[in-house]
Amino acid sequence: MPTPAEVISIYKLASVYASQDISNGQIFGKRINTKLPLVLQMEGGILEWLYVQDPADSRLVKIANYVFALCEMYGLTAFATITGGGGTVIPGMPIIPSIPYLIQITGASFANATDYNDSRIVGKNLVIFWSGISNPLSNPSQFVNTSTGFRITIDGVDIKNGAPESIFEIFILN
Amino acid sequence: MSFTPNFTAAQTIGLPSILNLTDTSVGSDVLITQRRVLIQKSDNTYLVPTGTTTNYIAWAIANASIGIDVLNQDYALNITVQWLGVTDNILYAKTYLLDFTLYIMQFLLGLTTNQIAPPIVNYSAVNDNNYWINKLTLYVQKLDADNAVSVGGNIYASQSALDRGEYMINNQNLFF
Repeated sequence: MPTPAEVISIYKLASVYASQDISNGQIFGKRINTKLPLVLQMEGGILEWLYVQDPADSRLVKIANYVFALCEMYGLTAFATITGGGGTVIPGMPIIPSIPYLIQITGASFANATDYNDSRIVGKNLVIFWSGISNPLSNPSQFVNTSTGFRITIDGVDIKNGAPESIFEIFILN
Repeated sequence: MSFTPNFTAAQTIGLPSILNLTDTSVGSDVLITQRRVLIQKSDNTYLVPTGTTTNYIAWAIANASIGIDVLNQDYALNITVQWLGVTDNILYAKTYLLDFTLYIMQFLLGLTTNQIAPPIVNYSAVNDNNYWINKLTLYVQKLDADNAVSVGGNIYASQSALDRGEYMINNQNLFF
């Protein structure tokens, strides 16, 4: 339910919408409550007056709820207009399945001949593809996880200097 | 130091007969020794509390505010505050034309409160077209009174609207 302060804005706009609807009704068929804008201006005016006199008055919330109810459907339209949209919908927390996450690097990103350091992959279950090799690297014969990333364990390679243009696709499974 | 006279006037819900004045003047003048309030109605007579023999009300300099019990109905009033010297000479004065509509507003508020109070005691009356037309009429008297002074500066038109409202309140059995 809107606050009394919000209802003070709502009733004014609802009165406008109701008047427009009544005006249209004169052409397309009569609407039901042609006195509504007048009543809204009066009851809303009384609410506004009370709010100005004493924002802590114990009658304020009841009267604000009453005025909001008087606004009928125009009140909801006015509320949406004033707040920039409808009510707030809080979505449920989704259960996200484990999705492989890809990091693509080149040999130039290696810290040295064999080690690639990246905090995002520390402690993760990795699948690593090295361009030109159709199968992923085997763990531990071709790579191992380290405390800072992973290390290529193939003898004699110098990726940093020998194959800086090589592309590594690192899939983080979980 | 220069002195710029000013004041505010207000009512408090539940106490419609009390006119509350607050001195909001800026600066000081050592020559000021006393202060008076004149509350003039649209018929040029003055409102004063019972027992007051002058057409003004003394407002002690030491008190920043004063509550004056004079409003037996809603009024449009010319309220003048005078700051005087020791020989009753007027050093400064400030006048505002204001309307005080708390009787009407409290009555309207009471009607609204009745409309939403369970059980709805005047259900048949609330569903009566005349109820709403009459309530609107009373509300418009209040708006007319406000606009007459704030837009038109017309104390007579304002008081006339307030008198019409007063009549509706005093004869509420005919209207609500």
